[in-house]
Amino acid sequence: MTAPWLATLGSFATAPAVFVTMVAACSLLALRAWSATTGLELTRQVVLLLDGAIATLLVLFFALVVVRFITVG
Amino acid sequence: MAKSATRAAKGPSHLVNRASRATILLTVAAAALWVVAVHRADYNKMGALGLITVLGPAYFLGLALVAVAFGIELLRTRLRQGLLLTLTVLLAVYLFGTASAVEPLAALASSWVHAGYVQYILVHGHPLNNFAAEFSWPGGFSLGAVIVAFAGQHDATTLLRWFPLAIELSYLAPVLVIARSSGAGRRASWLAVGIFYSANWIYQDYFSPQAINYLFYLVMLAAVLAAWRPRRFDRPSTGHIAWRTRLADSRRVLTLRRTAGEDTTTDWTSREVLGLLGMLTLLSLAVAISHQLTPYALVVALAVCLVTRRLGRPELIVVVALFAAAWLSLGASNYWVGHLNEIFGSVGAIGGAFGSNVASRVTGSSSHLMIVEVRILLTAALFGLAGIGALRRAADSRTLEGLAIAPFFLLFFQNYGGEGLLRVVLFALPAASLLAASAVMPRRTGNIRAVVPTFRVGSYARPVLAVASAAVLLAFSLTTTLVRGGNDAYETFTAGEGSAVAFVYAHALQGESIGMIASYLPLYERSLGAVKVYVISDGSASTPGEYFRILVAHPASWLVLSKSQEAWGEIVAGYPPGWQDALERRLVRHGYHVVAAWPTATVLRYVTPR
Repeated sequence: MTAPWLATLGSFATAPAVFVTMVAACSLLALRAWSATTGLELTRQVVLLLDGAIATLLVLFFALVVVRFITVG
Repeated sequence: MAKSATRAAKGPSHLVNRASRATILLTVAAAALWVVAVHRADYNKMGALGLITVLGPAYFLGLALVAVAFGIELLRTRLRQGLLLTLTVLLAVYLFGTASAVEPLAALASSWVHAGYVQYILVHGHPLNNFAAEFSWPGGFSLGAVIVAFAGQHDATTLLRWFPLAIELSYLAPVLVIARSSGAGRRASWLAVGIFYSANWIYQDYFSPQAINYLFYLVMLAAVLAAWRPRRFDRPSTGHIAWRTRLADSRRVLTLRRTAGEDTTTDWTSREVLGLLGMLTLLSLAVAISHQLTPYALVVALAVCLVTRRLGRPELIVVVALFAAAWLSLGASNYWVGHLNEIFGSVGAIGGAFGSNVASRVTGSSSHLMIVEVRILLTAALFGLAGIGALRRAADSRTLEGLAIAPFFLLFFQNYGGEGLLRVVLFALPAASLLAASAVMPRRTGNIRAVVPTFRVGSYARPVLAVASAAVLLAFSLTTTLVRGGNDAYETFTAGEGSAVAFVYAHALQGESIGMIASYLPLYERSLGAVKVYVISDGSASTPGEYFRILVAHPASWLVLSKSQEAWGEIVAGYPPGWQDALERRLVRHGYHVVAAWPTATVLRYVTPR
């Protein structure tokens, strides 16, 4: 029987949520690569914000994938 | 006296250059000998050792001429790239085209299965859900369906027979780029390309998603190595480098600067780099939806490139990992729902991975055992030579060493149904080949000095290296010929077996089942999902007596007995000769009737007794 907290989390770990998180992370990664490759100077704050957002999305993505494995699998 | 003085002054290099005038003749002779060899080969006389038993002296002489010509050309003062390329293609034809020319039908039952998957998509426009794990990664099969439709063919079976040679030749371009960009040196690079082909016994080039995705893997690796170079770091140009200094330098691998890609440099413009990243992103999406293992091999390989200063943008690694995980979670849910243990059950079980990949394969008759043991020895020899090359060579980065070792980490996560080690060796092959070539012809200058001091062979260096190169190529080629075709006695099919399968497809009705003792038949390329295929030896049964009891208790509508299954039984399972005929005689007395027969196959139909 699935634990209640996992069932609640599982209701968020739908296929669209995984997909949207992936697309968001890829978009920010593309932005990061583009700015670095074209030599666009970003302030330290912007870089930290960008890296932080990417890291958050990656953690969220992999958490959703794992929860989806547990609840659907 | 003047002439002899001039000759003496030219030295031993002159010997190589004079000999290389004859290499064009050697190349032409080798090509002619291949044609002679395949014409004279009689497939019907194949023995337990497989393809090598039908190859005559012409084949081995031709292969030797290729190796000798290669060795001579390699040590010419000026390399003739065109001739080296021709010799490489000829080597590939010998190693991967001979089986296709000699054997009547495409080998390996899996290639026919994949043709069936392509056929299903061609007819229905979508994969068959919940049918097989591979169908959850349908990208490669969809590509196959597009190509078949484009070519105006009825099905993919016309692509099967020569597919191994075609896909191996397609690997040549990216492998050449990898070799030239690796920093191994021009001559070692060409030798490495020769070793790449001559040591590729792994036989993952049949019509399969792995073969196509391996091409994508090589292309991505080639693009990354061509685009970025390591920044040189400060090192004294002469003198001994202490081990402490080497260790201190290796700690730079884990710095933020390194993982951000700032220790690389590139001559490409930013537009070119962006275009490259865009194309590699599309390619990694294709890989993620086409194959279960290759995306993770790519993540590992790109991570190695990053920490060894050959990848300037770390984002690419994350994108590849994201695509792979997303497809697994979303697109392949048909596969893992209810079967999570198949994906994660072997995580950390490295001992089990080696057991299922190595130990469990060392079974069967003495000939089969010999083939398996020689495969292990060949792989050990390649990696042993690679180890020597790693010690002998100077380099600007240790990318090759990383690329040769890193794929083994995949075994920690997945034994891939007992084939993990095969795939790991495949992914490590380009780097291992370059390192093996460096054992013979190590680069002497570089930012990272060689571990073992260089030694001079003397004034006869060129002839000695030519002989060494030819010997290495010939040894690997001969061994690959033996082991690559070593299972052909039961993994290849006669025209009769093809006719038997066609007969069954023509007469089997929807819902009926087609039975076979072992999965060594060119089955599945039609009627996917409509007719059930029943492999009796896939269950717990392991003797002909048990097969008989199962076939009587749970009859198959149609049963195909064949030469290849007979050979499998004798060579791998250890059954006595004639076991299949004895089984057939027993079945005929219990409801099965022979409805069609060829010299190498029999079709039986089960009729329910009244």
